[in-house]
Amino acid sequence: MKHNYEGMSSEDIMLYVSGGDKSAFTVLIDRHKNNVFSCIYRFVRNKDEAHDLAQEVFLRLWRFAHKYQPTSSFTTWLYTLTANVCKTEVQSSWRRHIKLLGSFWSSADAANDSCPEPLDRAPSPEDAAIESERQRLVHTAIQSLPGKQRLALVLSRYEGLSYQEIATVLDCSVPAVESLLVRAKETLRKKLSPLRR
Amino acid sequence: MRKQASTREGCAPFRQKLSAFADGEMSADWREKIESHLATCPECRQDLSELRSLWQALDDPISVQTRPGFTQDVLRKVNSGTSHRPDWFHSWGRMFPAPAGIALVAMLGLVLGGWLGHSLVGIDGHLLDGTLARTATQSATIEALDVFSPMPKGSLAHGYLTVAGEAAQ
Repeated sequence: MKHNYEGMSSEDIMLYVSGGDKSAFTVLIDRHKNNVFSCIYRFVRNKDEAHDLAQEVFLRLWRFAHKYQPTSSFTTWLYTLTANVCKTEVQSSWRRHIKLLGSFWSSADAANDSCPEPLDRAPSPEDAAIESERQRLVHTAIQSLPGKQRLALVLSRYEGLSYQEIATVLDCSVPAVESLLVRAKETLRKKLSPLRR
Repeated sequence: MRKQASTREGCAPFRQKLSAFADGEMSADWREKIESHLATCPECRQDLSELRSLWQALDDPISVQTRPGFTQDVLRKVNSGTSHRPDWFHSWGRMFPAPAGIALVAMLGLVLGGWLGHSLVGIDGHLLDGTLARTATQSATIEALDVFSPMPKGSLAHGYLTVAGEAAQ
């Protein structure tokens, strides 16, 4: 039986996904793939890696669909899966070492990957250069944060999640989120002081 | 000066809360306390202003989208029942992280080195050479260790030095 998933909430569609409905799953992927991808991209700053990790999030969504509780927000649950994939990426020291080795001979690719496409083009080459340098500083400062602080920052600043939602996603208390963000902001304040002069 | 220091100490609990205050994540009673403190404390007002300008500085309007075919790729993996990251990879990675692996390899090296060293020490406490090997195992070990010498037997360097030595004589 065909359903009109487009008009349904993601929570309702999840009920069909947990029953093994791949059409419902396709609708969910199309609805949320760009959010998941941009969140991961802000975390890893590498398009290929973000692409792989975003796929992994949806594969986990399919695999663990039966564990989803309809009482909780689907978006929060999806961010939890996303955060877990990001955390696993941070913990995977073997991959990090391989990446580190790879970076010695693929610095050109890395430089290419680390330059996100700006949403609006700057009006002049000079402005573009200034903006590009500003973004580079911001990215470098964010990348220097420890994994959990970086996740809390991305979820708060770019995904607009509340402290309570971040606490649910990161499986910690609200004061712990507050503390993570205080430390993250303190580090960023020091590293980005040239931008605010 | 003393007054300045005492003011800073009094600010400590409020400073910790300024980040959450700036994010609008504050209970009503704390918000009132902070607002009344800010009204009398220019340093905390400055801190709050810096936090807000930092948040502005983090503005990063990127436009990233998944590749075309992303959904089909996921569905293909679901249909084939594979993930590009099998669970055993992660569980193995967690069980055997790099520092533990390095420590294990170092420990194995020490044990192996100790065993080799012990096997090459003769009854009199001196290191055996190939001619004094007591057993076939000792002989094989000495021969195997020869590959670590600067000019192992059979190598070009060994041949060259042998010929050069004979020519000099």
